[in-house]
Amino acid sequence: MTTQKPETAKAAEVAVGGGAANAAGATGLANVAGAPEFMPKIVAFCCYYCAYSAADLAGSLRLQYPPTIRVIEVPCSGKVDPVILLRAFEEGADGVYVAGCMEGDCHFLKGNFRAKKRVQAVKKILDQIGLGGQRLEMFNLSAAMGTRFAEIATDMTRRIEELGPSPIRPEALAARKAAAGAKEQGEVKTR
Amino acid sequence: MPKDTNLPNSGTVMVVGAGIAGMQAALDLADGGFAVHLVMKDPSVGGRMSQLDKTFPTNDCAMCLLGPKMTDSGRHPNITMHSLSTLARLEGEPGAFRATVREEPRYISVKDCTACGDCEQACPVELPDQFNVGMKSRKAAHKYFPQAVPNAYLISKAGTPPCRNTCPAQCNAQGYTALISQGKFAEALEVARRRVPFPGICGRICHHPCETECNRGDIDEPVAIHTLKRAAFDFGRQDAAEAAKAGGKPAHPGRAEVTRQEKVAVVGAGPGGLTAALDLVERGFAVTVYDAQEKPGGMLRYGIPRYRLPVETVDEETNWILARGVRFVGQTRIGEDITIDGLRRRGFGAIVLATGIQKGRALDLPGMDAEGVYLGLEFLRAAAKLGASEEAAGRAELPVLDGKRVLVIGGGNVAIDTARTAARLGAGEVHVACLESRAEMPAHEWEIEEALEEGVILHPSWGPKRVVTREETAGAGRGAAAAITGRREATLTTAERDAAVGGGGTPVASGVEMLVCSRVFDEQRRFSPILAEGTEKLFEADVVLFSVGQAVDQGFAKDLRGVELTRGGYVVADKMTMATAAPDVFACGDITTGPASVVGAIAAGHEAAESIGRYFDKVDLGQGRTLDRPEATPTPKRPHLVARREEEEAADPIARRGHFGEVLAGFTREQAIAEAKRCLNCGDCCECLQCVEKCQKQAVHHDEQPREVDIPVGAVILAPGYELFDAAAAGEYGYGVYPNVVTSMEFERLLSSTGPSKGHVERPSDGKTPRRVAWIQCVGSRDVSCEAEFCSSICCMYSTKEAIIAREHDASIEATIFYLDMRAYGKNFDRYVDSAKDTYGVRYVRSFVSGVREDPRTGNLTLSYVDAEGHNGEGGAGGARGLVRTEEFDLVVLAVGVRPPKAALELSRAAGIDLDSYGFAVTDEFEPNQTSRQGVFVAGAFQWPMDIPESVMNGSAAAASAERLLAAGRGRDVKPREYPPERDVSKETPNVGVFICRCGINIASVVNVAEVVDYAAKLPGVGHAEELLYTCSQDALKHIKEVITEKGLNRFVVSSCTIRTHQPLFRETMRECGLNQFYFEMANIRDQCSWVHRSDPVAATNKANDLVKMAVAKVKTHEALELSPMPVVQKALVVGGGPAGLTAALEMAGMGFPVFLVERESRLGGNLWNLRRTATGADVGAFRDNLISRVMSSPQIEVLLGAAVEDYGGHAGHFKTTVSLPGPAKASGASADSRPTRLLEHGVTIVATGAKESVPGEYLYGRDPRILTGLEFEERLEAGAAGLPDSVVFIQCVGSRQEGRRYCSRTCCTETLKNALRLKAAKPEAEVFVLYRDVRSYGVLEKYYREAREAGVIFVNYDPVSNKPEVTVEGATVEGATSRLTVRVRDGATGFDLVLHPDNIILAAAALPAEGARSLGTLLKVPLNEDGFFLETHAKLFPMDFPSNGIYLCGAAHSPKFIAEAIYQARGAASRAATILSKPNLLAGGIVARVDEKKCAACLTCVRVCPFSVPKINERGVAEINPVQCMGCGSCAGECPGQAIQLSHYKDGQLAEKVHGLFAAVSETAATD
Repeated sequence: MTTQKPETAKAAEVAVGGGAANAAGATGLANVAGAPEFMPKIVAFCCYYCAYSAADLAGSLRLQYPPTIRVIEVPCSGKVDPVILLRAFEEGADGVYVAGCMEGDCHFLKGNFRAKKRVQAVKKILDQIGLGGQRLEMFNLSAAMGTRFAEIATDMTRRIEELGPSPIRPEALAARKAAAGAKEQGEVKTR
Repeated sequence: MPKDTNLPNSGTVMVVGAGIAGMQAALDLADGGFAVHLVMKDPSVGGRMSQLDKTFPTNDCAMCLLGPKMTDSGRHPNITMHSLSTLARLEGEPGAFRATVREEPRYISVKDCTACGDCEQACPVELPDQFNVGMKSRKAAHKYFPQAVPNAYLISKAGTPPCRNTCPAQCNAQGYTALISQGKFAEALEVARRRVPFPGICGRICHHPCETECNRGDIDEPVAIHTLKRAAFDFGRQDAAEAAKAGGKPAHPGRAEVTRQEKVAVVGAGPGGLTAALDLVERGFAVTVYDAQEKPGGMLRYGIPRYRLPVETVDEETNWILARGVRFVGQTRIGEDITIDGLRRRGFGAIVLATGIQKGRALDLPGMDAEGVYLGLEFLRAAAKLGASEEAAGRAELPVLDGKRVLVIGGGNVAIDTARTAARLGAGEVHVACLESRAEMPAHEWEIEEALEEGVILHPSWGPKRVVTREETAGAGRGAAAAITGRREATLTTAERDAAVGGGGTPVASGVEMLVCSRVFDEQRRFSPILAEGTEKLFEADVVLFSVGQAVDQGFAKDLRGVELTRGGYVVADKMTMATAAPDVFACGDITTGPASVVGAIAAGHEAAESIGRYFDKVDLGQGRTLDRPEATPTPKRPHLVARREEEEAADPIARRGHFGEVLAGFTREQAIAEAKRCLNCGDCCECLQCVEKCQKQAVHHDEQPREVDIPVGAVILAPGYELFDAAAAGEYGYGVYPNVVTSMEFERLLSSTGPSKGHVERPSDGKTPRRVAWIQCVGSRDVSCEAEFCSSICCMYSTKEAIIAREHDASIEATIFYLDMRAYGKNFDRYVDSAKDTYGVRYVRSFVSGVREDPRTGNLTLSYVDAEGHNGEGGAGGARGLVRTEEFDLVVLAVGVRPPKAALELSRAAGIDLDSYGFAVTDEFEPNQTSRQGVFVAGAFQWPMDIPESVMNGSAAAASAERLLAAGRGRDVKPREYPPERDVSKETPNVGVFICRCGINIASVVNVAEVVDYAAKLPGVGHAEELLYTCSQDALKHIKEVITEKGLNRFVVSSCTIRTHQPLFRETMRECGLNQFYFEMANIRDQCSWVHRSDPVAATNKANDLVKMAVAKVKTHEALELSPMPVVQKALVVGGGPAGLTAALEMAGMGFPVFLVERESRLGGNLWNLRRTATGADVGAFRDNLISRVMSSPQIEVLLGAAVEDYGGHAGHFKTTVSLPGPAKASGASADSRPTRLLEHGVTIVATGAKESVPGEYLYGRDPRILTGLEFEERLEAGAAGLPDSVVFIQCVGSRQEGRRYCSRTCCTETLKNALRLKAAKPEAEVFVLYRDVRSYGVLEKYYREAREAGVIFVNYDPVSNKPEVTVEGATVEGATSRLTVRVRDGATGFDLVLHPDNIILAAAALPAEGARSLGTLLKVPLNEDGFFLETHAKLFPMDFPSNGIYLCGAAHSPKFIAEAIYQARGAASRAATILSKPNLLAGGIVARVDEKKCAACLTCVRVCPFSVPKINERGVAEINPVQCMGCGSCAGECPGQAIQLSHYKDGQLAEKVHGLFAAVSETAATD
């Protein structure tokens, strides 16, 4: 698919050109001309009653936030299984967050508390496997908080930009492999 | 369920009001199988609650709670919404009413509006936003609030503003002004041109009556409307030209297409004729305009001097008109070159006479024919030709004026024009003499002023007698030649005079002999001048110009076949239609009226054109037309800043006399914008029609009219809600004067994230965060001076909430609440107030606030108050009575009270119901929802002030009442939708159809939709992809259905907006195609993409691609989910036989459902046996007996006395309950095991186990017979006057509001007031003291508090910690005279220690939950709170529901309450229950959790996790989740360690596929590239 090609190439470029740390500041927030571009992909699991509604409100208020968030709607944040959070990282998400109702406001009484616990647990796993728990977060917001939705999207994007691309993005893996191979041959190619 | 279809009962109910109470009633009814008409005055459902940020006592977000109910109301198939509507009339009988509803227009079709907001963006009118109580602005085209339902825009209009109303041509001044205020000059020009085809001309020379009428004139100065019109022309044409150059729309629309056969001739190319011609051309007629002059324009070109109106402007505007296709034939004079008949013969089907009046009027005076005497009009015409191609001709016609003395006779505008033109043509001195006094002069004041500036000399109140010739004056000598004025002697020498004598021998004018004019008009204001003989004076002049009126050029009158003329030669034409006596001839302009205004001629031109259109179409000329103008809108009631009127530059008076350059410069762009912003937008919408242009759905219809619809209904529920007290009426607090004094609703909006400050608490005066914030309670409540004797019930709690939330927003805020009594009487309210004090540090000061003063330097506010608690607690003891204190705050919040709705009176008349003295609906204590008219019920705060849960209960209760009335009509007026049988596609390969919505330009302007379509088409499994303009439109849905069928699609993805509003619609489409509705997925590329990434179209398009790809990946894994019917046992079980249980049973039975009523005791009635009278004096016993006998005699109710619930199982729709019954007599001591039991099967359960009075453990209760509880004392009172005590002390809060029982028992204050009043009534001399903490006589009960004080009851405030009353018995404790009761207490208000020796002490004992409530809760698996009362699903929105479906709660089992409250909650519970019992089957399944038994380890995780206690371990030893009960949250699925539980539609595999779709497809597709 032609439209995807440049993006893939750019992500690879970042990986080759200095790894995750250097990507900080390049951005979905403000594109610096000529700088290598890292546009994170962040999966947001949003509960239908609050977070998804808040996303709609952010839309109708025309609030602007970085185009890095991919929302997956779930009936309740309590539905989000640790397995699916891990799966998102495995597939290559640079960041993941779960957004549920305000504490005490859950439409299903306490699903968001469940979600919070699970997110904490998965953060630990991420720390252990070296991906970093910071790439995952739990947020609470009400259906009336469109501004907060945009804020969360912006903050999370900034955080992931600082962390750089996920090291297990397929293209990052491929690029790293390529780089390693090149190194072995004693000639590191840079563009 | 029994159904008698022969009854006349309808199955339709009207609910008036769509706040929380109205919505609740509507939803219950609709769910119960009734058709509902929801009539609301607002544009959206939601009511007051939608404006709230949070709700007490849970701090829940109001919108989160309300949103789902709003959405449900909006899309319920049984609910029809009527927004902006009111009930106009209600005729007929219960069961067969005819309700007339008046619907105000929204001007934007709800059906067509996609809520894209394009209209709002285009709208230039900023108005205060009512939703944000005026703290924010909104556009005239707006959505009421972001989450509004119906989710549609509307336009607010307030009638015709005076500017437009006054304008003869109805020019839309507000429209172009509003656009100019936004800098949109080109658009403004278009608007101005709609009614005035000469905006550039009228912007210069119109006499602008609009400005005289402008409402702004009442505030400071009128808006400079005509100068703005000029600005619209001057800058608008520049902007339009530039836009056209940049590829926008052309500056001129081009020739109008000729679509009609008929031809029209217009005679006269002045403003009237050209207007008519243009209108007719726009209507498709071929039009030819004839004019005697060479060029079009008439008086505009040949009458108005160029220093006022440049000829270029005339050229431009007339050319604009001709370029629309008007054919102009010049130098053709009617009566000479053409005739009416001639025109007819040439094939003109209609003729417009618009010749104007061309001739100046000459006076019949001696010497008029002398040389040097001219008519002003001819002079002006000749002057106007100067500089143009007719220059030579013009010069020839003009007298030589160089240095000469000119006298103009006349006081009108033509005279002034003549004078100023003469000055510019080189006259030495210009005099104007007129009959009128200076004040009476008909010329416009501004014209006169400008003339004076230019040195014109005025001589008012002089009339001409004769023209004097040079020969006469020469002979008379200089002495006799009187001075023209006292200012200057005549200076002409004889030589000069001789030199000037004409060559032809005609006498040459040397002046005019004038007489003093003593009056111009007679008493009837008729023109009747009196010239005083003997006052003759010679006004010397070389040139005399008469400008004393105009006359018809009679030449045209030849050959006027059929057209009538007046004696003066004017054409007789109808004032409204412009029709003449000849049917095909119409006339307009000065020729019909005499000399009038340009704008008047334009107006007449429009009317003539309209009539000609009708004439050709054979439509009645007069139909729908009137000369009457509606009343113009008054000055809008909103705050206005004083702003000075902009002044345009004028050329220097001396310099400008030398040329014909324009005097006035017009506004600069900046000036125009500033001036336009002064407009008050009196009409709200300015009808500029920008929205019409922008709306691609063509959903805007400005011509909508209000309409009335008649709806047959069986019952009506009135739930119009309440108003808030106007704080400005309580002047002592400075609201409306001091900016930092706000109302509680304003503060609520400040807290809200959708409010004016996005949730940051900011002071209005300076935007700073306030540190010290004070709440003042009872503003407009409990205050007879504010016409509110009652308590508003909600303010104590909402202020507490606002204080808590403010502290949560900003911990540095110090919150203080000034209150009289803290009325935290509801469930968990006291705990809430305690948490405010203890956790949030909110300070409560019991006090009377006497006033608020502002420090103008800081904007801070000083409160003066009388501290009523200075003597309670630390520090205050022993001080002086009534401590007056002052304290400074940064912000003051007024807790404004509740008022009946403004429209209550109208509504009561329309519905035919009575109102009480406060303006609330009259109801009966034991029939709390019944109004004075049968079949009309009331719900919510229209009954009396109440909070949200009470309103919900009340709404449901009113629904129940209507359902009982219309029991036979249930299901009659609702039709279930029918769908084709579903096709099984589970074995088919997924074949996905993807539809990408452009949403007009909402998506397409950012996202490259074509690219997304291409992208989608290439995704694996996609069989069809296309874009649609509006996917949700009817034609698009039809198209989708065709495509699905044609291409055999079995999955369906719509990529458009939000599932919240549109998923149901598309799922419906699936069902209509015979596909399971779950084979559908949506990608939200509007709300989540185009709207939020506007600046980055490439990234937005990539994201849209991703979202589509994810949806396609997931939809391929979707499965058909079946909703399987589970039969409902249409019977109810009611547990508890007190007032609530009895009412609930009767209600269910009345609706036609059999009921089991289970009561533990051996008799029905519960607490009704303990109470004698209610506060109003109603006989509780009689009520009880009636209730019991109705229950006992009901064939539908089976009463089981002495029965107890022993076992409970099943699910909503089918419960199985085992009850034990009293055994044989010998079993009195037997255990339950030996009692007979019975199995009851039923569909719903209503818990109504009630409460009981506690036995006090303090104040020596039980140790002395003179110390009684409230109920015991009531018993004594009932026994009669004999033996009543002479003195009593009531002690409140005995066992309530204390450690271990931290709740208020709610009824005791009122019970005490009732008993105190009854004692006083029986024995007025009795001394009565009430020792209280807070008197909680909320709502209308407040009146008993006032009555008690008036009756002499003494109220003593005590503090339970520092100052609790002490009760002792002094003297012998055995019977004897020395033994006396002693109560010691310190009065919190005064600090005085009181020692009382009453005959009786009455203890207000706490209410306790019924015995056995806890064990019943365990059996039913429903929760109780820590106080032992049952805990409902949600304190606010589901006060009668339990988390487990099918079980409901009412009465004091919920929390302590009055009989009336128990009744409506019981009815409400019945209404909730009926939503299940009314259906023969419940549909189970869909999105529910399912257990894979093979994987289940019975670890109990799901049992523990489920918030609704649904999962159970079944007989097979594995978890079982009943699909009927499952709420579908998926908490169990998320937690299940063995992944044995999956939530349908959100299975792990499905979500994983969606995630995979996002990432994997990239490399896959990239790899194949």
